[in-house]
Amino acid sequence: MPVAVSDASRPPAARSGRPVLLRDRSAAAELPSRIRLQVNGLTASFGGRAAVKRVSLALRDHRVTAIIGPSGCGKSTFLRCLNRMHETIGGATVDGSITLDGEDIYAASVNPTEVRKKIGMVFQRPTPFPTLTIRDNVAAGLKVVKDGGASRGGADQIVERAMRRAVIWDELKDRLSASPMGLSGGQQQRLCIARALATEPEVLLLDEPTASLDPVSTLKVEELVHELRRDMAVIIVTHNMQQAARVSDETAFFLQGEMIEITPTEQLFTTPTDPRTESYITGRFG
Amino acid sequence: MSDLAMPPASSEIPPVQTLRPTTRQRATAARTLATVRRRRAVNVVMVGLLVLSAILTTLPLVLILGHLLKSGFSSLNWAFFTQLPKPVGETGGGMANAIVGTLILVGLGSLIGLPIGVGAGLYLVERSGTKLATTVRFLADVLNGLPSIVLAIFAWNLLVRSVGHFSALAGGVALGAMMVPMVTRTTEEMVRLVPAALREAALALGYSRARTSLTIVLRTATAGIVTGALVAIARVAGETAPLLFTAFGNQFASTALDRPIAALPLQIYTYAVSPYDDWHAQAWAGALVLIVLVLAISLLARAATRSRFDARGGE
Repeated sequence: MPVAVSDASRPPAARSGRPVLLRDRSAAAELPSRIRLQVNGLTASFGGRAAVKRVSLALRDHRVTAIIGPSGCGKSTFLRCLNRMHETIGGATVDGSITLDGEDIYAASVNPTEVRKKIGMVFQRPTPFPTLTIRDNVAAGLKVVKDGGASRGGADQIVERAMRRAVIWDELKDRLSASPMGLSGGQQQRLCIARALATEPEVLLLDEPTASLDPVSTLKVEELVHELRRDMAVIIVTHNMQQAARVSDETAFFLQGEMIEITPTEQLFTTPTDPRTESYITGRFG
Repeated sequence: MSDLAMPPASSEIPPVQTLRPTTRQRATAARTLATVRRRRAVNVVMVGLLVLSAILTTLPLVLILGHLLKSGFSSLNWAFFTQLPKPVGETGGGMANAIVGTLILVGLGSLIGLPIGVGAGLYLVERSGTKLATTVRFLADVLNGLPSIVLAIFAWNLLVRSVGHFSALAGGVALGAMMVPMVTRTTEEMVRLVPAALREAALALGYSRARTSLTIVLRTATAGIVTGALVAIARVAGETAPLLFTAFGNQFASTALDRPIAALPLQIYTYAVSPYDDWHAQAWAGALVLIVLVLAISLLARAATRSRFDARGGE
């Protein structure tokens, strides 16, 4: 849990260039949290070359976990293993175990599409379906969920709720039957988040969700992430250390496919345990 | 040149010593001027050539349309669209049976060619890189280059020789066989244009692979596939060779699929090589109708499949 570190106790060399911690995350820290996703010794390879090596970590409810690291360190690959998207690429293999609520999602009896229904994902670039209306985009995931949302009060209510949670309802409620392609990048990305939320996932994976957005849209998405942790476990991969510092409770640092450390965010950005983390967050490489 | 580009006036800049360019500078300036002139000349020539080729590309179409209008329009009347051909010696009559026949044949061909072609094109993308896909792609290209008369022989062997008489069905199969490789390749290319991110987004929502392909990928590529299908339809609508000994032609009204059927290209051919002047005139009119028909099919299908968002004035 957050460790308060006085300025004097920081190593002097690391004081400059550190991301500023903006948010008070004590409120979320009070919510009871249990482990949702447990990753043990995960190794992910492309055609025999390991991109992620023996990573183990636990993702908890009501916590935002950030994954930072230089390009090519395997953070996106790691994320894609969590909802079995990694294997959709030819020659990709996974070793190790991942359990969701105690059940192995890589068990032979598990259908990957079932896993993906429970674990939502948002990509780096907004990916609205261009042939569907804004409303149908949000409802797209409901079509493959059992009962199509009938028990939760009809698709329209679910769409509205998802769009409200993604803070895009007020902007778009009058344009539900329009094409999503006319929206700004930030709106498209929040639409994609609404689409992922509509099916009420237990875990939300965000793969650099703000990499293609302007600062204002980025801020909106970050506030959204902050809210979303009330209902689920959130993992966000980011290039932006300030962003990790702003939105996450725990931060994992990846380097060349290995997880160097995972610690409460404030601790990682103030007193990292590993010298490589120290070098990275102070901007000495990466 | 804005003022911003000028260096700021400052006393620290030393005064310019001399304004007279050196010999070397003068030579450089002359060379630069020559280069600019040469480039301008080359530019004019190249643009001229491009404009010329653009004109030459469209010229045949304009000439053909103009000539058809001049020669065929006068023979167009209500009777042309409603009446059957008159026996030799009698004037008047029309090509109603050929117009209906062409629509039936093209419809049959599309019914066979479009589903197979779209399915095969989707397969080539979904199973890209497999031995079968590579083979199918190669064979589709070979089939595409096959003379249409050869496809007619295929249809004849399959459906005429075995049955013992010509039929509309055989003509439709010949046209369909021509459409398959065209539609396969355009479908493949259009589906390939759909961003992989879109496919991933659907998979990540819990869509199965089949559902992703059929509802998201295919739907996104629809506009392009429709255009490709239209090109294929327009091409086979004017084909004569595949129909010569399959549909065969018919001077009478027939819509039966197991009987010989009339077709505009066949009728045009028959009339054009005949010795009668009024048949020649009707052949021109038939050619005009054929072109307009193809154009109308294109426009109609385009309007029907235009993105529904366009109709609302965009967003």
